Amino acid sequence: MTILECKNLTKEYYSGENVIKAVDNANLTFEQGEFTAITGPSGSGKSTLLHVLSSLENPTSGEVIYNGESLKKYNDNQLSILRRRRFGFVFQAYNLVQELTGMENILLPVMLDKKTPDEAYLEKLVEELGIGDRIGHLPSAMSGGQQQRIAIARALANKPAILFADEPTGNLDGRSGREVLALLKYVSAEFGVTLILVTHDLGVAEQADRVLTLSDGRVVRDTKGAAQ
Amino acid sequence: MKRLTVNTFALQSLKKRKKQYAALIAGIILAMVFSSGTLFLLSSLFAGIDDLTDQAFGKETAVFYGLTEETLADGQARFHIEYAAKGEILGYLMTEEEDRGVSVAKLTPEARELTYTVVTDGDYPQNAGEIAIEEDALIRMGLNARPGDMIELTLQVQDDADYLSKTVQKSYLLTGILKDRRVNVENMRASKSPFPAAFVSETETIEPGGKALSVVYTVFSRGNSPIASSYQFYDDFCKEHGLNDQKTESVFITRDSFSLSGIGKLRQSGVLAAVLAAVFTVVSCVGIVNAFSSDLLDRKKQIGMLRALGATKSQIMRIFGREALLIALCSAPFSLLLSYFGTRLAVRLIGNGMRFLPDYGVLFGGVGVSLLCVMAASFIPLAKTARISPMQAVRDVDKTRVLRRKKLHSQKQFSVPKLIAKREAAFSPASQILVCVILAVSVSLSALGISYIAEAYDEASPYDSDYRIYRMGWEADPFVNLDVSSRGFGLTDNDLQTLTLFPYTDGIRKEQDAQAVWITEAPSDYLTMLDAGRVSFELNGDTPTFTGETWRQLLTENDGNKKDFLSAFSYKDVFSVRFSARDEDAVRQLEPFVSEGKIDLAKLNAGEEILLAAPDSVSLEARLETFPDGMRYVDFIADTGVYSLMDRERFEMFPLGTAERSCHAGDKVRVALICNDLHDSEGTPVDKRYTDCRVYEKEVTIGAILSIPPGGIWSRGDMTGITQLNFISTHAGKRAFGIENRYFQLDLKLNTPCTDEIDEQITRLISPMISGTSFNCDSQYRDAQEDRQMLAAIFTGLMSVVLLFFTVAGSMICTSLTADIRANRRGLGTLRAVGASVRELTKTYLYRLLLPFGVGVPAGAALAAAVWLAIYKFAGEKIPPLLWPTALLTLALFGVCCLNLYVRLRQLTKTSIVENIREL
Repeated sequence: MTILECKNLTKEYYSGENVIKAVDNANLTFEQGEFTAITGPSGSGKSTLLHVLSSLENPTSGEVIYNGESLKKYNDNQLSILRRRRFGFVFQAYNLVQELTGMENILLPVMLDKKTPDEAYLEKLVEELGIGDRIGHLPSAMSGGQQQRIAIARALANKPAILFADEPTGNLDGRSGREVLALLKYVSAEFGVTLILVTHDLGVAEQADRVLTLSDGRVVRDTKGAAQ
Repeated sequence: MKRLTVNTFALQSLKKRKKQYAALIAGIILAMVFSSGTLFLLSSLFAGIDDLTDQAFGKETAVFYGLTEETLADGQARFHIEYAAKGEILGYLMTEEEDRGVSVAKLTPEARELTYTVVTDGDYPQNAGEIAIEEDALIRMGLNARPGDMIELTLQVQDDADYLSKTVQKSYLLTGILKDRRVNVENMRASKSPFPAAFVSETETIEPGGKALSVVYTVFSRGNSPIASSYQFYDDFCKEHGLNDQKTESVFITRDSFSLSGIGKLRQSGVLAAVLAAVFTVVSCVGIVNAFSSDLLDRKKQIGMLRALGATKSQIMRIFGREALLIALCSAPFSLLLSYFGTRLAVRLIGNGMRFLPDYGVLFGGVGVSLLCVMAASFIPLAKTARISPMQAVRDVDKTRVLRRKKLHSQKQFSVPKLIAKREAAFSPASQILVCVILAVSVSLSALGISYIAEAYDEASPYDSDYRIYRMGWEADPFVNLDVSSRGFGLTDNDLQTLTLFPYTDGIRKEQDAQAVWITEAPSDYLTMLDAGRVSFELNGDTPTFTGETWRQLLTENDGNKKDFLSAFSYKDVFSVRFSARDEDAVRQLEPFVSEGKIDLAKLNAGEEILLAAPDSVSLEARLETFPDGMRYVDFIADTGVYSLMDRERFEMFPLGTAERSCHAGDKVRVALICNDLHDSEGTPVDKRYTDCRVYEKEVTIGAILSIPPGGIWSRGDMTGITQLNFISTHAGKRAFGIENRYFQLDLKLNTPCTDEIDEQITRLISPMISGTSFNCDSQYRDAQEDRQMLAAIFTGLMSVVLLFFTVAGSMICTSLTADIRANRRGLGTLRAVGASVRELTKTYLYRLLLPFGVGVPAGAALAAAVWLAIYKFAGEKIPPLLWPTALLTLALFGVCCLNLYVRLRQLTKTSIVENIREL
């Protein structure tokens, strides 16, 4: 079942008088529960594609369709609600709120949605991610790997439909990176979440169900079943 | 390749961060204007007020007539007199039509400078035959002349002690009209001195046969203490040299009430300026520190990077210190210009003849000090920032430290905006407390200051009338001043008629008084003690000592006037009472002061009843004063709790007892009104004391007792009760006694708002009625103008301080929130990415905004209430609170902060979430 698709998606940037097409006429569909890796050389537009797909940025033209509804119809407030309820984000630089403890960061989307936290679910999440002893600390008192684990827990806290991850292992050492990736794969499978992950690491991409390769903003290859 | 120096680095930085620095420079200019500019404004206002006071009263503190060279030299040698300048009174000038005139004098250049003679029209006389006259003196003499006119005057030539019997007809060229001084000095201190109001050139000589009376203008010392009153030295000087007696008149000029007030003394001593300068500097510095702190917070990562690249602490300090210096130097000219022209505008707006007298030393000195303050203030955050290690700058470890210290616990359920706002406050408690304190001080200062000034504005119009003509001074001893029909005692029905016919007169309220006694067979302690204040006596051979035990006997023995009166009229005992008759509506206004009985106008009009204003109790003390020549005087002080009567330090005091009020409503009393209205064939009153006095005696019932409140003022100055008993009735009630006499007070109400033109017309009308008498005319229009001027100056100063505090509080809130938004773009982007809407971000900052307002404003209100209560408790002053201007200011400040927040968040949300997240 298609959960997310994009039609004729283009994102342009202006650099002086030059127009740079970061994403050039992309037409893609993403199935529920699928793990997709987006890869390509630096500047190929993979992060931009992720940002436009996840509504963090508006496309210059084309549209993104979530669950059969075009996001064009959504205003800023509706997009915020969509992000907090249905999307989860993991960034390369973790992006935790510095004033909040690990646990408070995890609870952030739930609290923004004014919902009562599902404590059993959250406990399981914390346990699976192995961050039980760090959740009372501020991000500045955690290692990169710990921060990224908190970020993954935050992304999954509201049981999202899609988890967007932008180079989630980029700032981590090899071992931590591998652990984080394994966790991402495990929790997305465990909780039935669609995972769309940007990486320039072919080793990471190999583990995905599907690999999209970008070059100069265009999808030059769409390989399914790579992990198999 | 261009060499990179500290200067070029600082300049490059300034160029690149123009926008951020524009706000910083604006903040610093404001801080400089508020510190140096406000001091400059206050110094100019004070100089302007001093100048106005000098114009009104001169720069001298005392004027002596006929002072000998030896006495003056002695005063100067003993440092009582700091400075003296001389003039000569040549005679007394009058017109043929009017017998009221003024003294004419010639002054040395030094005396002219000291007396601060201001020519409002024309020139000061340079040659013989020329004259300049004060404006009021021209009116007083009925002259309608302008500079250039020849005027004919009658001159009574001075013969040193008095005037020659012959008069001389003089023809003068009027060269100039001078600003009034004589009328101001005499209004303030009624005196029969020949205070000159007409001046001729130094070349003028006295008429043959005459001998000029010397007039010496002096400035008395304040001693070593800058706040001590010069009166003490004046008083000592006069006593030591036997001045102020029949031979030598003197006038001590108190200048104005403001200079004698607490504020005036502080101002004179420089304490006020120093305190204000310190407050402005500290508060401005707080603002500057905050502005720089916010800027450096924004650049923490840049500093960390520079440190990581190998920059030493001192290099960081030099780079950013140079930036601060450049910013301060850029700000200085703007603040100089703003301060100068702002002050000029403020003085012009206050108007009323106030001159702009800039003190450039204060202006440039203030800006110089402000520059130093900017450098010093920038050093504090700079030193703090340079201390941090490169990693501390990149990773925000401060928060972790605070978290550990505060032992914060993770919240399980929370409102995101509230929690983030609360956490931020917990991470920077010092700055939060500082903002709250400044806001609290701003609110309390504004609430109290504005309430007090508003009350002062109300009190600036003390009477219900537009003009009050009243007799100054009151002879407390009814056994002395019996000449109730003389011109000096009151205004006539003709005067009343003239005023009534004045086209702008709406109504006149009139009051008459009379000397009266309360006749009694059985004197009570209460009456005896109240009446004792009239008596004083010298301790001499008959009465060598005073211990207080024999006070009743001494009182009786030494009250010669009363003894004579009793023997003349065969009364057993009498007590002095003040009697006043008022219009019916004025009597009705006394209703709130009735403590016993009731006011029955019909019975008052019929002369059956009378009202008695009497203190509830009286305490009597005797005071013994010893003079330098060894003479010792005893007098009695009846204290009714209405006024604090005197400075006790100089006297030896003997408490003699206390008595409660012995009379009540319903009591029958015998009252006698007494007067001597006999005149000789030329109309001069004949003082035959009691032998030919007429006594209008009547038995009446006390209809009501009126209490005298603390301060003794009833109904906006309509009645003053101090220690005397006061009988009050209506005019009809007084006529029932059979006595008719003059008005001692007329209150004139205009039927139109007063203007300069009406004021001039009415001054011309009233001036002849009161000239040469002890009557005075208070123009509410003129008083209000003067008071408004003074209050405008005080209000301007106060509002400068209040605005400074509000501005600093606002700038601290705005700059810290702006800096936080700038520095925290990534955090805000993250919040948006995980689903926080713009509304939630706004709420986060609104909560942060509400915190200082939520704490600071109530704290300010509580502080103001505490100060208000303290003033009420200790000074008994109950000022009606006027809070809406403060509420408006606070709301305006909140609005400005919200607007700033809206603009910053709008800027932030205009950029995409990704751009915010990537901001590093």
